[in-house]
Amino acid sequence: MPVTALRAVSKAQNGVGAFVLQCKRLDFHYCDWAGASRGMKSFIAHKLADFAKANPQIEITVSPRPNQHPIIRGSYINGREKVICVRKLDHLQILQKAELLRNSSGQKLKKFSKPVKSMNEGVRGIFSPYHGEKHVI
Amino acid sequence: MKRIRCSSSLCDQFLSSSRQIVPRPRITVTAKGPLLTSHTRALSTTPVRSQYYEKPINPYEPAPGEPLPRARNPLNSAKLAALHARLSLHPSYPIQTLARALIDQSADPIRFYNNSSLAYLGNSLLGYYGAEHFMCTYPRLPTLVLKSAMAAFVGPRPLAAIGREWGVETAFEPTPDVDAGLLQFKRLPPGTTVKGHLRPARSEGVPEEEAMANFVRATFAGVYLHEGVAASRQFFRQHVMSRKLDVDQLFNFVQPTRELSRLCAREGFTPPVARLISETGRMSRSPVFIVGVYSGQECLGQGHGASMDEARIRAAVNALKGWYLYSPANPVDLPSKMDVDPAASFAPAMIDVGEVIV
Amino acid sequence: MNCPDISSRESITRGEATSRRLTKKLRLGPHPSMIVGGHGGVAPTASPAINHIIHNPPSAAPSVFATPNLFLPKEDPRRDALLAIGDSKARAKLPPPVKRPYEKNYHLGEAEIAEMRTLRAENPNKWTRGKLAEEFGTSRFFAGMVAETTAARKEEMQGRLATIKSRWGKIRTNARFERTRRRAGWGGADGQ
Repeated sequence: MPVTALRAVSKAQNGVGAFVLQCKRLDFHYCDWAGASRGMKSFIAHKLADFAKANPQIEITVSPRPNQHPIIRGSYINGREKVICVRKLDHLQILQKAELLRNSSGQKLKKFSKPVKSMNEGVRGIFSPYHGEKHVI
Repeated sequence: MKRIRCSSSLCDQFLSSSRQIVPRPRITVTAKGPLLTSHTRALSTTPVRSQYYEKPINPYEPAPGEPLPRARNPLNSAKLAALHARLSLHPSYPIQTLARALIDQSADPIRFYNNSSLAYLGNSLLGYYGAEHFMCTYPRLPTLVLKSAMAAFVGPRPLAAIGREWGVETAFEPTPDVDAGLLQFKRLPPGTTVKGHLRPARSEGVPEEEAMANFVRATFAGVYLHEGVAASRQFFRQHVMSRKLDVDQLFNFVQPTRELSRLCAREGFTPPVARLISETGRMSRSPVFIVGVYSGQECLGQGHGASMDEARIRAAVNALKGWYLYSPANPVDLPSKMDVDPAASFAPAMIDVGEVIV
Repeated sequence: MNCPDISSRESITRGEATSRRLTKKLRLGPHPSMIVGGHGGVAPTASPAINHIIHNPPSAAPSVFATPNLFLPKEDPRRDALLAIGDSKARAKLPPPVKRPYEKNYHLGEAEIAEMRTLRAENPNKWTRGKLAEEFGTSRFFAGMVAETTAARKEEMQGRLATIKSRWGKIRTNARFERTRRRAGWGGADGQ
């Protein structure tokens, strides 16, 4: 019987070919009455249009959230969400927070102990004492 | 699900205003007419299609004269605009085609409004580009492995994964009031068998994976129709071929030593001989043997194992993989290069005699 | 006098900085095989004037994507390049074969094969594969292939094997099962 084939599914490598921004939606919530939302309202009035124009790949929604702190909620392609409370922040600080959410991958924060992680194996393979030129002492 | 309807006066007001604001879609070729229909349908309040065919009964369809909900208009969907930008589609790719690509056959049975024709075209293109890539890169790949490698890139599972990685969400039910940026298909009841002859008809519903794969195919067809051949090749390279697959992990040999011996006889090489390159711990609990298969002076492949037999068989497997995974040194031109520029120079691919028959 | 010896004091005095001892002296130079034109760790005085290739294969199992020279088609440019490297190296002594090599002699004709079949059909209990192989000077595999045994004997032998297997305990049954399973993976299905 000749060679048979095994089934496999290729794995995504975002950024190797096309890059898909992982943040897919940003929800801006504000309160009309409370003073903690003053910066948020100013941000929505003056900065949000430019921010949305600069980031067309993100769906942006604005909605009131009465009697609550103003928040920005980022939804990501991996299904996770990140929420930042922007209570009492001015519009520039809120812009920074929005950019933070935009640049985030949506992954849980974790410590990387190894600087490089790769799916490809090393060019020179894995060292084996049984191969190559034998070392003579 | 609660159906939300705009009041007719509000909606009329919106429709009239949007007619003024909305630019005409940038399609001028009349042959591409059906692509326009999604746009026409969303904006017009009068049924335009009754003159072409009998309208089938669709429970999700608003009655004639009843305006479509504002959400269904592709130009109002923030999700669609975001998806368009996320995929870096050219402005010549209309939002309306993207909206049509999101409507599965199970959500709308009329072929002018669903993505079935686009998905068919997209599937053919993906198969063509996938096949030419593997046949030119690995000209000796056995047929079954070639099919498996193609399925790993352009099969339903990887395509559905691509759709999810593009951030496309699915609508719970394909009612007319859902956002045009959601994937619309009819879900199968839980526990339905989807394989074999027990699979229900498409109108009964489809699995999410199938609907998502069809969306990706339809999107790809849209790139081909609106942006051209060169753009569709680039889109394929960037979104499909950029994925990672170890082609050498797709082989499963049943009689590798026999197959290698047949190969050497066919090609006129000296019959292969297994030779022990190095070993350790022969009398221990965990020995390691390194065996190489030699044809004359040339080592064809090496294998390791806890027994000589294992190492010998693995060496034969690696030698056969070395044969089948041959790739030309100079990059060959893919046939689709000529679709872009028929006058370009072309280096033909190598054609192999075929796999070893044992 | 109880005075320390000066010579011994000199021997314990270190004239070298700790950093030099612990860092700089431990820095290794490049391996001789990586130095172009260098021999035994001696670096060349000047860089070579023309393009060059350092052929320094890794101490690792060879990749299956590096096609052996023999498998390259005639028109492949790598073939000549690899042949040039191979010629410059002295022909190394080949490692010992795993099994004793033998020549296939193809000495059996139609008549002998027909005789093997007749003998097997007449008395399959006497003329087993081993006996036939010994008599005709061939392998057991070939004897079994050309002269298949009768259905009755096959059934009897399978019944005997089933009886033996039924006496196996849990450990042996499991061990045999696992061995078969591992063996099936050697062809590539175990992903190694």
